[in-house]
Amino acid sequence: VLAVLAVPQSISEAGAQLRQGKTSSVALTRAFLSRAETLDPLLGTFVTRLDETAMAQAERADADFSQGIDKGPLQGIPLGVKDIIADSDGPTTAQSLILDRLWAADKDAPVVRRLKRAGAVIVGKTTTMEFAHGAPDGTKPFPLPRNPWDVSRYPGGSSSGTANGIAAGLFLGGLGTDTGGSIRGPSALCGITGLKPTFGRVPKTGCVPLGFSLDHVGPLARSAEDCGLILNVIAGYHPSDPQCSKREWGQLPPLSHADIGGLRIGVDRVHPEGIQSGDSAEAFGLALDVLAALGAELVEVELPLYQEMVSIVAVTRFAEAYAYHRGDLQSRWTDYGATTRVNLSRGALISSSEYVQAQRVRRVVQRKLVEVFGRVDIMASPTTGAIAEPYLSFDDEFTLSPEGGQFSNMGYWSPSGFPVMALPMGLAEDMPVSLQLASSPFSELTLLKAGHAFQQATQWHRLWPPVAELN
Amino acid sequence: LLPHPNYSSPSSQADARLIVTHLMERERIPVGPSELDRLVVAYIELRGISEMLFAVAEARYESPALFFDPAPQFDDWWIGESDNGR
Repeated sequence: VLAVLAVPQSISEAGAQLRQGKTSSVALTRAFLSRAETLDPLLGTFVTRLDETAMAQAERADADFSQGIDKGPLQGIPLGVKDIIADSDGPTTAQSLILDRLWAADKDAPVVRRLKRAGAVIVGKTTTMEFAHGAPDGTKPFPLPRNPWDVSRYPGGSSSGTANGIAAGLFLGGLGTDTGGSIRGPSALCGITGLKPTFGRVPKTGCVPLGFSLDHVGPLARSAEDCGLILNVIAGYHPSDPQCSKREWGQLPPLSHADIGGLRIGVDRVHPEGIQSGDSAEAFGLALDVLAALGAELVEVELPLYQEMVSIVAVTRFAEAYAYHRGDLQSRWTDYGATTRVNLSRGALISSSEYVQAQRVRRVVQRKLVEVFGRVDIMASPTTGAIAEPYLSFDDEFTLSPEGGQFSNMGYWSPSGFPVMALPMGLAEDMPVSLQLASSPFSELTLLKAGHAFQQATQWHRLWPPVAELN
Repeated sequence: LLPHPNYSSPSSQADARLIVTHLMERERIPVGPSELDRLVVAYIELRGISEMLFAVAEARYESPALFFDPAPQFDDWWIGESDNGR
C-alpha cells in the first residue's frame, strides 16, 4: 500500500518539515503517540511507553529549534529503543521476570545518551524475545509482538517491537541489537531496513548481553538513509566497552546521489541450501537485476566454510549466554520462559575446548573472507529464505538447525563481525521479503550507498502494511 | 545441521541421555523430563557441530578470535562524563 499517512514517512522528511516550520516536534510526537494508542494493542510494539518523557523531550527539541539550536537530523524525531537497552526514563526488562530492575534503573546506555544529546525523542521501550534469545511466550506478562503485514504472523526477533513499530508508523526509527540476526530478521519480516554495524563500531555497554563476542547495537528505520542518520549519532568509541573500536567514524556524507557504478557485488548461488527455491528467490533475482542496471558488476562467489560459520554462532552464543545466566537458571528456573531456559541450558553442553575451537575456526573464516572482499565490495543474498511464519505453526523449540531458511543467511555473517544490512526487496504472498548486503569491516558507508541507490530505484521501502492505515 | 560425515554419534540415545542428565546435575540445572528430551537432541547436534569444527584443517595452527587487553580501562557506562570518546 503506497498510502499517504498523516505522519512523515522518514526521518529526513520529518526533519525537513521541522526545519521549515511545517510541524513541531510536539505535534509530531503527539501524532505518533496517537497512532500507538490505536495500533500498539494490535501489534505488541511496546513493553513500556514513555509518553510523558517523550513529550518533555519534544518540547525541549522545539525550544532548541526556536532558539536556533540545531543538534542534527535526529532533533525532535520520535524513536523506539529495544527493551534490553538501558534508558533512564523507564524500566529495562529484557522482556523477562529475571532481570533485576535495579540493574539499569535511572541510567542511560551510551547509545541512548547519544540519541538524547542529539535531541531525539524516545517514545518507548520496545518488545523483544526474552533476553533477546527466547521465543514468543504467551505465558509471561509481556506483550506478544505481531507482524503488521499480517497480525497472525511472527514479526521476527529479537528486535521485534522496534521493527514492527517502524513498519506500522508508530515511530520513525530506533535501536535494536543483533547477535545472530536480531536486527536483520525482524527488519526483513516487517519490510523495513536494518543495519548490523561492524562489531565494535557502536558501544554495547548498557545493553543486556546475550553473546559477548557477537552482540551488536544498530539502527532500524524505513530507509538506508535513515539508518545512516541514526548510526551517525550512535557510532564511535566509548571507553566503557572493552570491545569498542577506536577507529574514527567521521561524519556520514549525504547519500542523495549515491553512485554504485562499478561496485562489485558477489552472489553465492549455492549457500544456504534451498536459496534457489525459497519465498525470496524470485524477488532476489529481480533485486540483482536492479543492482546490475544501476551499474554494479555481479560476481559469482562461493562463501567459505558456510556450515561451519553458522555453527559457530550456536556454540559461541550458547556458551557466552550460559556464563551470564547460569546462576539464575539454577535458582529461578520457572521464572524464565519455557523456551528460553532450555535454549540457555544448551550452553552447559559445550566444553571449553569446543568454545575455543569455534573461535579458532572463526578466525580461519575471517581470513578467508578478507580474500573474498578482495574480489568483491559487497555480498548479496536474501536475508531470509522464508516469509514470516504464522504464530499457529510457530515452533517454540528454537532449534539449532537453521534449515527453515529464516536465520541461515544471517547467521553466517554474525561471527564475522562484518557490517550487514537488510532492506526490503519485494513481497511474496503479500508479505515482505528482504535483500541482505554484507561488506568488509568498517565499510558501513559502502552498504548505505548501495542500499540508498537500490531504494531510489525501487519503492519497496515506501510500502505501508494495511494496518498502518487504521489510525 | 547435519553431523559431519566423520562423526560417530554416542553409541545410543540412552548414552546421550545419561551424559546430559549428568551435566545438568553437575550444573544444578533443574530440568524437567520433556526439557531433558530437548537437551538430549541438542547434545547430539552439538557433538556433530563439534566434530565439524575440529575437522577444519586450516584451524590446526590458528589462534582463537579471543580478545585480551592487559591494560584495560574500567569506565562505568552510565557516567555521562566518561563519554569522552567522540
